Amino acid sequence: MTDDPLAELRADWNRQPVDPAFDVGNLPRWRRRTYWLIAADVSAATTTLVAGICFAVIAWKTRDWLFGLSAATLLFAGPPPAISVIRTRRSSLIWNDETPEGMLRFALRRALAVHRILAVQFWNGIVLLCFVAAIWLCVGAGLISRQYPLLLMSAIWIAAALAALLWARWRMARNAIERQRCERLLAKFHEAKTLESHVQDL
Amino acid sequence: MNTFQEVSDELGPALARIAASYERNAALREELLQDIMLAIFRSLPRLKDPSKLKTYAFRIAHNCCVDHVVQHAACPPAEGVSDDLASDAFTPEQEALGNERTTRLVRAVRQLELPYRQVITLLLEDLSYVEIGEALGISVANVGVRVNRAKGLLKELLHDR
Repeated sequence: MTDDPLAELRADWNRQPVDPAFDVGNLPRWRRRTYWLIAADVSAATTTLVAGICFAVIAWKTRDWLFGLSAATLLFAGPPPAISVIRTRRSSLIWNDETPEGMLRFALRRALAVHRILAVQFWNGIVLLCFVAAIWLCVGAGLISRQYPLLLMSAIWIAAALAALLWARWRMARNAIERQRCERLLAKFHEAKTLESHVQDL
Repeated sequence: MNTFQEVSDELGPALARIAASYERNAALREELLQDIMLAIFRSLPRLKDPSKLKTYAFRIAHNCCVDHVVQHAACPPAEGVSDDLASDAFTPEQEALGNERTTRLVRAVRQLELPYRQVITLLLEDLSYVEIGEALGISVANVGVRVNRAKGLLKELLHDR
């Protein structure tokens, strides 16, 4: 390929139909979107924490096992994924103008962080199922009265737990594809770099 | 210091072409371009030397595109994202208007592996080897090696069609 064919290619390349009009006014809105997502995560985590503490206080005052188990479940299962999600979102705000390889390494670290969050969420589904089993053991032992609509609540909790388990499994499969893609692309960049050293050796 | 509007006016079409070299689906391409613009908007205050704006913006654009390729890795190719598949960037009407060579070129560029696609898109945007090296964070020697390989691959792809 000589310079002339390159000039021809450049001319062909520049003929691409692109829309140069870009609405700059939208940028602050898109920027705020990330902050809103973090605010939503913080609100959800705070609500879970406050609900857990309230349930614990009610359980302490009324000696009600149902509230006690609910408080334990919320306080045990709520904060860890919330903290992980917030940390991951915060890292997405830091746009590092690195090299493409640096970007891939960053993407790989992020994918691994998401994998950890999903693993915690998967175990939260298991915790919820254990919670339902514990409630019925307490009912059997006479520690929790049958005055609550326990059947309906148990059905909802089981459905929520199964949905969480399935969702976590589905996301984990997609996350594995993302990690594989990162590793494959990193290998391609490494290969392109080693080409240079081969040429220098020659 | 350049304002973002100036950056958008000056580099908008080039950034759109870079986005097109990574994404064939029009809706996703628009989304990718928005991500690139947002990333540049956020990073602009950290630009120390205004004369390096072009390489700085192109570096951010390629980083965004790499991230886009990774994040959409789990999407089936039919949904639009690919780092190694040819696809349709133009409507039939545009092709009929004499853009066939451009279409073939864009398709061929999209078939290149990322390290080669990046250097060739920057070369087509008229950047020098030094500027390409600055934009991608690689040595000028490595740019030369990659460009030669990319040209060879591109030639094969264009002749195959």
